[in-house]
Amino acid sequence: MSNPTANPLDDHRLAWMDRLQDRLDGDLDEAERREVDAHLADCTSCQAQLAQFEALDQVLLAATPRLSLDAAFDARLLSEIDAIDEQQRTRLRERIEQERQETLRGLSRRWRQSLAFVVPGVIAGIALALALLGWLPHSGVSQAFVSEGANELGSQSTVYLQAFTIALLGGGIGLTVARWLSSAAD
Amino acid sequence: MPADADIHDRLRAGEYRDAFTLLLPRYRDKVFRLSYSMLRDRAWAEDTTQDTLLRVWKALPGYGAQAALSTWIYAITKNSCLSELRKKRPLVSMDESDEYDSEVAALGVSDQDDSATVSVGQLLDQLPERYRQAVTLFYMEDKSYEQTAASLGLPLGTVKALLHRARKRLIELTRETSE
Repeated sequence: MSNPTANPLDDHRLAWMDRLQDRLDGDLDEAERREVDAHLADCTSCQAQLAQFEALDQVLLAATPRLSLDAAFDARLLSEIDAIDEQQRTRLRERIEQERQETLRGLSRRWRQSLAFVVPGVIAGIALALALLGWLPHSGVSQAFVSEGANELGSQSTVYLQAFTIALLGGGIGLTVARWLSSAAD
Repeated sequence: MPADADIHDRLRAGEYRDAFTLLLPRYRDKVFRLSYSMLRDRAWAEDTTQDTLLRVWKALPGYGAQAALSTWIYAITKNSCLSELRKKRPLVSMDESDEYDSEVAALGVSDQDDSATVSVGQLLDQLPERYRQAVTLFYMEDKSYEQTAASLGLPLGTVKALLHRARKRLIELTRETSE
């Protein structure tokens, strides 16, 4: 429904306003521009409107600051970034050093545990093996094993076989006990 | 060659410092102008530009190229400016852009000048925030619709419409103040 109070001149202005602004902004193609120019040649209302837009355009251009930042801004920013990077690098270096120290402390602790438990464990194991071998001849078990080995390898091997059996048994028992003690200590 | 291809190459290679060195002269002024169009204070805009570009630097390793680099940088800029504005006016929420616009627009109405003449700045103050921002950026960017649209993250047509309406409104305001 049309508005009975509407001013036909205003309607005309509204219809052309956007195109006049586009013309001012250089946003029309050649054909559209020719069409607008042809209309402008005969329309005093649009001529006045365009003049008003041009005046506003000039005022806004003059009033808008031409803002730009210079190389000094870049230098300030980059130095701030370098400072952040250096802080990050320092933090990273500190973390790596801390991790290295923790690893060294861990290794050192394990070595101490090993020395504290493995050596006495092996010695105790050998002592136990000697005690066992002292008892085993009476039981006949080792005698059977050694005599069987001596039969295979010759009579001279009896002493070596006994020593080998003591070392094997002592080492095995000692290491098992030492590992158990070491893990219990952890 | 796509825009900022050289920067993307550096980013893919993990050469963030080189990428930033290329990016800085390309976007520094655009970020500054967008900040100024929102904050309307040169010193404040400069400080915020510095903060924004620092944020960009810190976030570069996480930039996944899903959006254009320019869009990503302008989004960070807008968030920085909104955060700055919110510091000044703590009630503004990031999700309340419409309310925000109207509140800022309401705030933007300048003190009435007793003199007969009204400056362009005072007229601009009376525009809604979106209009004012579009006008400010458009003229700062040498009347480039494309750059204004890119900075605002709006379609070209929307920016044109905003500018047309803003200038019509400015002419109306000029008439009203001269009557």
